[in-house]
Amino acid sequence: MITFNCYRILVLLIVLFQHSIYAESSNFEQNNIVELEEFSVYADKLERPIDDLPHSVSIISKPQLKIDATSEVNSIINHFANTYTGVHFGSPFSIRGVGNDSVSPAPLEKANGLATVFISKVPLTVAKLHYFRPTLFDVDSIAVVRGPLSTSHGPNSLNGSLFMQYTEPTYNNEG
Amino acid sequence: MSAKYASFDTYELGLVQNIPLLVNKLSTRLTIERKYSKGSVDYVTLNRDDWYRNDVNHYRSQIVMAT
Repeated sequence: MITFNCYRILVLLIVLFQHSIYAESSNFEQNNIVELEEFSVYADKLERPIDDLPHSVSIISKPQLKIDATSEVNSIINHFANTYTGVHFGSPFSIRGVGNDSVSPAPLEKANGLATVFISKVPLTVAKLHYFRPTLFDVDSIAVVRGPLSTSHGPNSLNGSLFMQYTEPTYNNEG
Repeated sequence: MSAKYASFDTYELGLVQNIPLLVNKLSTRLTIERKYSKGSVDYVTLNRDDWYRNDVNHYRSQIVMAT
């Protein structure tokens, strides 16, 4: 009987003070709101916030890039989820298991690519990547967009795209 | 200006310069890079070193114009 009364008293106390507890936690949340810096994605032509993008996007920005003399683009790409490349950047890299070159052979190696590489918003063909290898010096951010982008970025972006953005010019005389 | 050096004769030299052509209207950014490696790279997928010779020179330029 005593135990039962204690239980009722405990329930009563919780009912009485739950609003004050909620109010305290609400004040705590209001006092600790952190405004995050808005992050624009070069890969999106509408410059929407990353949370509004319908695609799966991974971005490595300049502060996160730990570049030394031995760093290569492929070593950065391998850090993205669902993205893989070998040692040689000229070899096809894959997004979600599908290579950027083609899934099937074509006459005279004229197959359309399935994932486009954009260097400062300029698309490179698969053939160009075989002799032009991007480097990481002065790079600002690297982004991988997984998912079909053919409507917005061309027919060769069926599987996704890789965006390398070098630091853009400023109006100051600096180096 | 940037200079990095690692083992296996690996080095990277870079020079970047902003050149304003018109005040707050037109500017260009020139980048010159020289990168050479005798051959060791970090193969992160297999978590081991690999050998791949690298010898590239890059010259990049961008132009930005205020609209």
